[in-house]
Amino acid sequence: MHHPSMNMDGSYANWGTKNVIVDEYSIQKRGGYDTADRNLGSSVEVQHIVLFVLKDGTRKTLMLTPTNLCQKETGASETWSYKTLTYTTGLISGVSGTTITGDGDVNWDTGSPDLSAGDKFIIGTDHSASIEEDANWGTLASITDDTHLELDASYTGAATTGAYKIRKVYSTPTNERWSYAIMDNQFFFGNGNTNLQAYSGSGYASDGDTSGTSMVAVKPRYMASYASRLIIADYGSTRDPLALAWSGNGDPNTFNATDDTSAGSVAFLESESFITGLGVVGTQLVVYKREALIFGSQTGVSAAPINFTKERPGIGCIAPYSIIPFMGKNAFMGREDFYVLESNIPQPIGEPIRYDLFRKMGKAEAQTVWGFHNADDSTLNWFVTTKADGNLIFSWNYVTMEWIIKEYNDVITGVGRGAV
Amino acid sequence: MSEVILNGTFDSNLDNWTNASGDVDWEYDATGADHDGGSAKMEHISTENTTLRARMYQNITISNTSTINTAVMTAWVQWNDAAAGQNDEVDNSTAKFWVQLKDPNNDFWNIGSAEYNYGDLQSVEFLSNENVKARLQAGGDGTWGVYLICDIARANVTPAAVAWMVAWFDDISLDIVQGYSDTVTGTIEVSSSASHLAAYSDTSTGTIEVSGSSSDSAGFADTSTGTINVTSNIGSAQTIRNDYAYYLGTDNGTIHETSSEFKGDAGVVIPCTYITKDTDFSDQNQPMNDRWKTVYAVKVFYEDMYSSTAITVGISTDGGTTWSTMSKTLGTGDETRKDATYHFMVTGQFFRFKIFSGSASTTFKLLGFEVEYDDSGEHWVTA
Repeated sequence: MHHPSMNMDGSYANWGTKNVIVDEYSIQKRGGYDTADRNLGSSVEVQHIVLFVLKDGTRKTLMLTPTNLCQKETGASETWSYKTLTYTTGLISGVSGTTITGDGDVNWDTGSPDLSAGDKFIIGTDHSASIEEDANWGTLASITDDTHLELDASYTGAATTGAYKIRKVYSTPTNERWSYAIMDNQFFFGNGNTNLQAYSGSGYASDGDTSGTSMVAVKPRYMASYASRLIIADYGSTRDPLALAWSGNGDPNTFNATDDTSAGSVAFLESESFITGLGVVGTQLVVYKREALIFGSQTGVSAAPINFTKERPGIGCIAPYSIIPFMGKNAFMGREDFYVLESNIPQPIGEPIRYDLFRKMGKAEAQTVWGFHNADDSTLNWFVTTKADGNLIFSWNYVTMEWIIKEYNDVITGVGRGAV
Repeated sequence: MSEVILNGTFDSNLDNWTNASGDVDWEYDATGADHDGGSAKMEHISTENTTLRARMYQNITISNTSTINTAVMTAWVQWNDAAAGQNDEVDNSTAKFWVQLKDPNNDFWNIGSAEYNYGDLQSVEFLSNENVKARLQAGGDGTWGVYLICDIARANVTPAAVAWMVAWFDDISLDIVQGYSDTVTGTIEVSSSASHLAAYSDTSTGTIEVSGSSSDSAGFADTSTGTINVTSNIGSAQTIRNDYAYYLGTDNGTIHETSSEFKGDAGVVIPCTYITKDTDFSDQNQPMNDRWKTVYAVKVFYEDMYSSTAITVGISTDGGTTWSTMSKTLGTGDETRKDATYHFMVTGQFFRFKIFSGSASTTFKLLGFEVEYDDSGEHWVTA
């Protein structure tokens, strides 16, 4: 897939080969995709598509954009709905142009969530919650006082009183994505701008760390489920890229050790190499740093549940979202190659593509590489933005051990499995 | 058993019965022992040519008739003259026996009957009826009567002659075998500890069902045949769901299902390209090294996956900067192995080959290709 020399095997493909797959000793066309199944809105970047299966078998197809959690709806005429953190306390008592007036219960300037310009407003009777994007959503321009809001344009809905919704729009750091984990019948997600969020499959998402003393899971960039706990890393109101915390045992909603002594944290103090991700390989928790891999194992001790016994310097993960869990292993992008991590020794797999890939991809592009495992065709797919060749997908089939390159007609920003 | 004794005579036409006083010596032995210990016995010692009838019954309560497994009635009877050779005329007499059931609706049902000529002492099992179950279940729960009737007919005997006979019921039994089921609900607990650190316990709550039948008859033989069924509810049965799909999300908010079923990108052509390494054919034919060659044809082998699939073959001698190309529309979709030959006349020292297919509706499967070329001589310069 790079520029093979003449003495190499005749079956080596040259750069420029794309949109074909190698299988059954043949060259075949790659699969395409259908016309839009759902549309979250123009210029909205779909970052993740997740099949969230609850214990009772109910299935939710969730979609994360940089600003919202959305859920696919499947009823007649339905499209999708917002599940983003939403504020509904109190009632609207009047609407006049851009000015929204609430009753004495709304607490807009002191309540939770902390409202800010850009959040979205709608009155309940105007809202078709399962047929988004509803045209009546208004955008907050400012919070005047405890009972008054200003929109950036006149409210378009017909209602002027009653129940309402203010959708607390999330944000995601530039060039970063969400991390998520499913544990204890909850969908957890967070990023470097947004506190840990939890969605139970009904209602709306809310803060995932409900520790009574104070919230610990503030803006967690990475997360994983391990040892009956939710693990977060690179978090804090003041970012700490060396820190890792675990929730209470069997209680992913409590991270403050004052509230649950089985919760705790640790810092990996070698500051020249920051944490770039979390993964689980076999029975080990893997903490990825830029230039090292740290391996932890479960101890069974409540107050110190993970023993980080081994640190392997030299190879690390330079693209946090390139980490792909698959078949009990991890695959990730290092500084000069892609690796598969099985046990604690990373094995390079990118020889046929790495030379040209890393030449075409600058350091800025490298850190944005993200990956996805497609179990149906046994491939690990890394989505890469190159300097000269646009957006390419480097796809490695872990059964045939073949690399291929795909180039989609659209800019693909998220992949995932969803209910049909 | 309550006992009703009918002692009387019929008229000459045997239409009307006249009760008479006196004891005809019915005896009932509830132990079911042989007749020596007591049985139902009737004697006809009259000198009249009459029929003497005796009947006895007992009411019993029968419940749970719907679950009866089997019900069998048996009866033995005996008959004899009072003294052998007393009077031969007695041989013309008969003894007739009936067994009847009276259901809770007071309807009578014949279970069995038999008639025997007078003779020396004889003993037979006149009844062994295994069809009582259906009758009991038809009549239902309630008070049932078991009736035993015996007629001794003295006929064709010289009036006033002394002649008599005697008959017995013996060993009457109604054996009902009741099916029943008991259900015991319990808990089976399985406790274990794992090698890893947290102890855990699994609990299975299930149902133990014991079903069986018990036979209670004269011999007091009880039989319990049971089946133990253990059912568990650890984890409801689950099916592996396959009603999911992989989706692609774009930077423009759209979400698309993706699979090999789709031959375009949302209806847009997918440009598929396979490009070979550069070759001077020396890896196949070493003397071709550093010589010029002319390619005359490229034969593409393919599996015919789809009809009317456009396949383009290109040759470049300048490292992919410029291409000589030829296109063909191949295939009928019959999934057989085929080949197609593309003719060229391209001269060069190093060659790079390309196969291209762009479509939003067709697909292909290329198995390989062969190149036909010829040596065009030593290295030479064109300018």
